[in-house]
Amino acid sequence: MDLRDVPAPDLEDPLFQPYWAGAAEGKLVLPRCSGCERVNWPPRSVCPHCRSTESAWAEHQPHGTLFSWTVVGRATAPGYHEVPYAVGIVALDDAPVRLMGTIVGAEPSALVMDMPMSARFAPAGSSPEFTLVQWEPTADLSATPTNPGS
Amino acid sequence: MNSNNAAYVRGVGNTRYVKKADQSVEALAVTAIDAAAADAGIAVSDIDGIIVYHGHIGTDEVIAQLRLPDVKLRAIIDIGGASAVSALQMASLYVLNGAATNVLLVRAIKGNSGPRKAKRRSFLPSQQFRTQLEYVAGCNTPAQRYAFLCRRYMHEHGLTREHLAEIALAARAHANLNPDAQMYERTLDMDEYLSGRVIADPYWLYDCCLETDGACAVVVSAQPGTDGQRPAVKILATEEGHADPPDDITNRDPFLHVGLEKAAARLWDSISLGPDDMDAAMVYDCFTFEVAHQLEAAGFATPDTIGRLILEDGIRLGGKLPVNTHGGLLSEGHMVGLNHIVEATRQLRGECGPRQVSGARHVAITGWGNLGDGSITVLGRHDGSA
Repeated sequence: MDLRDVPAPDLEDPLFQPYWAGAAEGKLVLPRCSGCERVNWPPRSVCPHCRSTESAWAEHQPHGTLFSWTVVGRATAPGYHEVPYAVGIVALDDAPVRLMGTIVGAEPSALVMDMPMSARFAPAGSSPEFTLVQWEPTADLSATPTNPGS
Repeated sequence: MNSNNAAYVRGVGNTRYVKKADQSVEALAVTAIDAAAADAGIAVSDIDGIIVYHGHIGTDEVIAQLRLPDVKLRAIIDIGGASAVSALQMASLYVLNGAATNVLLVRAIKGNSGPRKAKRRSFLPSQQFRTQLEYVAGCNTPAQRYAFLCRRYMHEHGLTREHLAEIALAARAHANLNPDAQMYERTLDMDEYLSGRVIADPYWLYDCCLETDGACAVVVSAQPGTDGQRPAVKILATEEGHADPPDDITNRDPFLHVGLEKAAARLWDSISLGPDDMDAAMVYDCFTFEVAHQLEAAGFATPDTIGRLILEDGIRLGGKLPVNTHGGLLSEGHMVGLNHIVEATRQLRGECGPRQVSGARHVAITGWGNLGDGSITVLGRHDGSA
């Protein structure tokens, strides 16, 4: 997937800056509310649960499951010229949040609901600081041939 | 809101819906507003309140074009496709409280020959989430966002391609009976439906609403204005509701919860009618699945029975619950749901000719917008002098 034309968002936006800085280092970094310890995603400047305005950003395991997805057949998004491509919502394994990202490493027709996914950190746009978090099916190291005996 | 002292849909009007209109947006709006005022039996200059929507003709343009002498209230309701039905509530409050006498709801746009949807400015809430999280992931249209809901719903509740197809085919069959519809002369069969190119799978071409040039208008008043000559159309109750949270789909929990559930629960509690009493339903149909989702959220079915309602009980004319007898956004035209109110009004007056639901007395209308805002109203036929 060619990401060179994807426009970078405001990477210095204080609500998202640690997320983008983490992605640039190959880490999935999310905010945990300092008041009630919830991981809030998308991030909000005031915690809707406890009103705290303080968050601590922490690294998460880049693993989850595929919660839903779409296969885009008509190009509309800035920088995404080539279709089809898949965009998914991934439910993270180690926090009760879901993240949106493009799905790579599999044909769209091979995607299965709730399949294990892992993050891949992909340089995008023209700024060296801009790294996108994409998702790909987790390589199953214990996999056996799918049709044993046939 | 439900009041015994209810307001009325006093007049409705529209242009024909087309792919490319020769007239300007303003000319389209004037045509629809003139028709609605004439239908209401009022002078255009008697309009003293206006409620509009983003991207369509604005309030000041309406005032200027029609030289309205004394507009007292104007508003934009900005919950996307839920705005039109929600505006019935605001208009009712205005006219019943005496703040205005004749409130105009209007939509006018060159939605097909003008700038297309993906190129227009986004009015969605929490723009930071859109730009920081969605656009960068290649997701920037309603089709793409709602496809996530559609696929998860299909997985959890066994909805299939056949159900989505029937929603599209029923809408087209209805539009083929409606001379004002953009798709009046274009039939659609299952083979053509299945050959539709992928837009945002599970949404294929014919799962998606049209983009339309045209206009429609509705006048809400405390008086039915019928002189007993034709049935009055009463706004029996209207409610809106918001998902938790309304500004993000990805982390909503439960994921498939939408604002319409809350609105519909309040609505049915407030009137002595239930979903089974509705003779037809006009359901906001930006995409096929949203019809199924809203029929369930509005109480017409459960996740277990929605498939049966669509394929067996029937959503076409003659079925258990005729849905979108005008053709809806899928096949009549995209007037952001105000055309659903126009159609419900005409159904209740018995003006729909070959697509008339015989004996229609109550019609429900839903709205769905932004990222899951919902609205619902019930209009009722009232015969004789009100």
